[in-house]
Amino acid sequence: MSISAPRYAAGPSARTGPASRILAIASREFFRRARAATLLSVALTFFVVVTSVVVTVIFASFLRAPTAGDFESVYESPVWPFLMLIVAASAGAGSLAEDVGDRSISLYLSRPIRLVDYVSAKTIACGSWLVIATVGPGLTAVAVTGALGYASASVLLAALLGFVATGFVAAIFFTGLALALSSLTNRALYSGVAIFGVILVLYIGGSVVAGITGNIYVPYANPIENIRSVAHGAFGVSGGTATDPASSALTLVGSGVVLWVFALWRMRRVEVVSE
Amino acid sequence: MPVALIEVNGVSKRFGTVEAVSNLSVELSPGSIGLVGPNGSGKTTLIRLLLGLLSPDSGNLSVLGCDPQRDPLGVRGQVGYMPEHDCLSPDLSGIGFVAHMGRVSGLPKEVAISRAHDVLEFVGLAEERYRKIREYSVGMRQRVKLAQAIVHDPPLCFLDEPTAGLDPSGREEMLELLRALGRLPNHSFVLSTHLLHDADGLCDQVLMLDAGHCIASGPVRELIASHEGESVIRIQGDTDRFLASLLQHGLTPKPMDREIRVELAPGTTRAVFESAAEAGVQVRYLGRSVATIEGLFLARVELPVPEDPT
Amino acid sequence: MTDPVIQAVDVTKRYGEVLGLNGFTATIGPGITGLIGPNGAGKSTFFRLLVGQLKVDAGDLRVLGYNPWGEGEFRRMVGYCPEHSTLFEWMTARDFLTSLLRVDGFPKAEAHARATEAIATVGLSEAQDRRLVTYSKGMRQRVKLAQSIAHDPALILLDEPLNGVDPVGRAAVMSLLRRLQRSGRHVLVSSHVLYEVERLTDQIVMITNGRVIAYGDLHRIRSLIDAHPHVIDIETPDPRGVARVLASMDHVVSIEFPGEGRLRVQSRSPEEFYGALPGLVVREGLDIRAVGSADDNLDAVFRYLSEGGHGPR
Repeated sequence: MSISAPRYAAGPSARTGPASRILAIASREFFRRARAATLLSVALTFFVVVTSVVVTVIFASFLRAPTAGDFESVYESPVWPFLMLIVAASAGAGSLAEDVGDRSISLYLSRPIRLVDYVSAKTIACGSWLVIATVGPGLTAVAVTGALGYASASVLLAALLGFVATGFVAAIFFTGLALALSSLTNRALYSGVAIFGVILVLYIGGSVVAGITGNIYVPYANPIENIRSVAHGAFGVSGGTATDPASSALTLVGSGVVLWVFALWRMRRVEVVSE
Repeated sequence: MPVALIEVNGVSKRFGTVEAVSNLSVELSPGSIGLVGPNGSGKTTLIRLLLGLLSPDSGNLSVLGCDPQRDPLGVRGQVGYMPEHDCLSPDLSGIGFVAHMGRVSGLPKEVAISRAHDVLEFVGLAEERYRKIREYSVGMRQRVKLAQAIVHDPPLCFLDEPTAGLDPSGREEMLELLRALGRLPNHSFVLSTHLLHDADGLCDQVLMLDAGHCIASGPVRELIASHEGESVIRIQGDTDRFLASLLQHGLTPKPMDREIRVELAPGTTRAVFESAAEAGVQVRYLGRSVATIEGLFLARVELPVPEDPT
Repeated sequence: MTDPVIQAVDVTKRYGEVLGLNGFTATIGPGITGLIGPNGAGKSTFFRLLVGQLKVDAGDLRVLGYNPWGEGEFRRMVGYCPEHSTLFEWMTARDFLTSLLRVDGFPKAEAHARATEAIATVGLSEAQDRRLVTYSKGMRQRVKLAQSIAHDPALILLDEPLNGVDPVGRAAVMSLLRRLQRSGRHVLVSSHVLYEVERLTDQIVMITNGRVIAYGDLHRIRSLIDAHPHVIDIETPDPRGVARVLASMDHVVSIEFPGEGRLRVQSRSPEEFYGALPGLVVREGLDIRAVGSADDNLDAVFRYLSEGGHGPR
């Protein structure tokens, strides 16, 4: 082993601001999640959404001029929410848990980084993956149908707005959920399983309880029903949902934010300097 | 008048009913500082306070002229921290991890990468820097932990048990690194360690805490100067006969650990050799008792288990 | 000469391709013996063979006269404090020890009494009814130590017992080991902190790569390393006069005068040198103020041996 003084090639250099430090954490987190599971689930989402939307629109065009509602069809089956669960689990379950698990979080928080900066950086990374998965395929489907000339410009624009609105609402909810569950444990596996567990319990439980009691507020507890309702509202499809689209959107965004704040609060338990 | 590295004025911090730091006031100058004390003495709380991760209940602190309470990010931008526990992301290479921590500390990307190469070379990991951290040995991980603490070239580093878990040669190499770090101008560190012997060879100042109070602080030389006077003898052979012999020569030996301590007036070492000749033992070491941080510490801290009566 | 506590002849232990011990031969005990070596040298393997957790592949291992593998009665005569181990976090220290002692076959009342006593011995009485989950690293080490001595074994095996223990705890543990030694127990302790081992004992076993490279008395071992003459530093007001006397010894290779009032002697036989020194001082009336050797410590010996005799740096 040799020992020599470090060379200070650049001399003392100017320091970057908080934004670029947050970006450094966010980009590392983003690329760390670009693993097979994430990439495959996102690719699968693109494939499923684009093919189902394009096929539905083409079939519709045989009967009549396609409407924005034809683009919404993808939200009617549970396949799409299921794909979002895989993306959320793969891209978000480990984001806080793994840093707590290997304790690298104590290094971040000993740096010129506040806890809220750190959690925000993780949110950006996880949220980016979810936005790619929620909004990306819809936009691609709009572009493909537009290019094939099956829908008018105004319908395409309406569908585009529908995909963006639904996608962002869903992404906010799933990001908040993934981070909150990730903050509860130090194993990505546990929080990943928990994401599935929570949604399935709410989905099945919500449907069953709503069916038995007939209470009109119970369906708001079912995120998948809420997303479907938001999609209906965003694509201008009336009726067919148990909840009011605006209220559902508020529920999803609100619970996403609450879950995010919960994650932030949970991370306060981390002791940077331990005994 | 040099600027104080760390100033603590009347700081108290209470957790529930426990006063972790109790009206503590110390001033430390730049250099190598040993922070020592038993578990629960307040070392951890003090480091958290100095990093601005906790606010004191009363009093104020200053680190490198910054107030960690008002400007925690300002302080943390200027210090490095090497935790005791494992803290490395196993999925990254050494260079990737250190460069990343450099960026998080506020270095622009290119500077962070070039600094990461420099500090990994400094800690002796030049050859292994592209390998994944999960393949690293304990000693290599300790080096990466040190590298990430100094990647942004901070004037002050907090090093928490840097030699923990290292084998003898690994420990010696880590201490040598820290010595090299301490020799660099304008590079101070606070070394928190249970191995007081390590602090002895490394630190020019010491801060000793016990139950949230400072029991000693300041330059090591001044602190331990007051502990001289005795001589130490180490022998090989029949200790009991040698002790009896010393007594016959009018000396009052005190056997401690595996050495014998005795007050010797200047020029009276002959009696020791005479005793040895009579008892038929070898004098392997004879010298003035060297005062150590460890000796000072054990003299000032109450032991939970009474020392043997011997 | 008493019987050796541990007698290992050509002991070999492999885990598939991984070598634990390779032709390990040593005679250990009585009293305190330090086991030292780099990480991965085979220290923990040796401990686990000694308590019968592993079976030797080849060779002969005798501990207190027994073959440790599959010997039920023998288990009670040794206490083992492993380097890493999981404690039952939800239990209090006292319950943990009591239940271990009951597994050992002690009746309930005695198990409880012994647990309380062992906890007091390691200085944890105040915390004995707290759950282990609240314990610091140093306290856990002391719980492990307490469980290794609670059943009053004749041989205590301690794998890195001081790792993570604070300075006060270290002093307490060291003094406890000395008390155990005085009460006739045998202790084999491994540690990376050589000066602490040295403070406990002169009896060491040094291993690298699964082999014993030296065992026995530290100073004898040092004397046997002939490749490097032993450097002895002497302080005296009359360096020339002392040098004249010392130069008459034929094992003295060289004498230097590194500074005012100082003398540096190189001897090929420190045994003879130190043996003759008191007599010379008395007979010749030498005034020697201080004598010592930077080579005569465990650190230096470890370096010589583990680096294949490259000498001091």
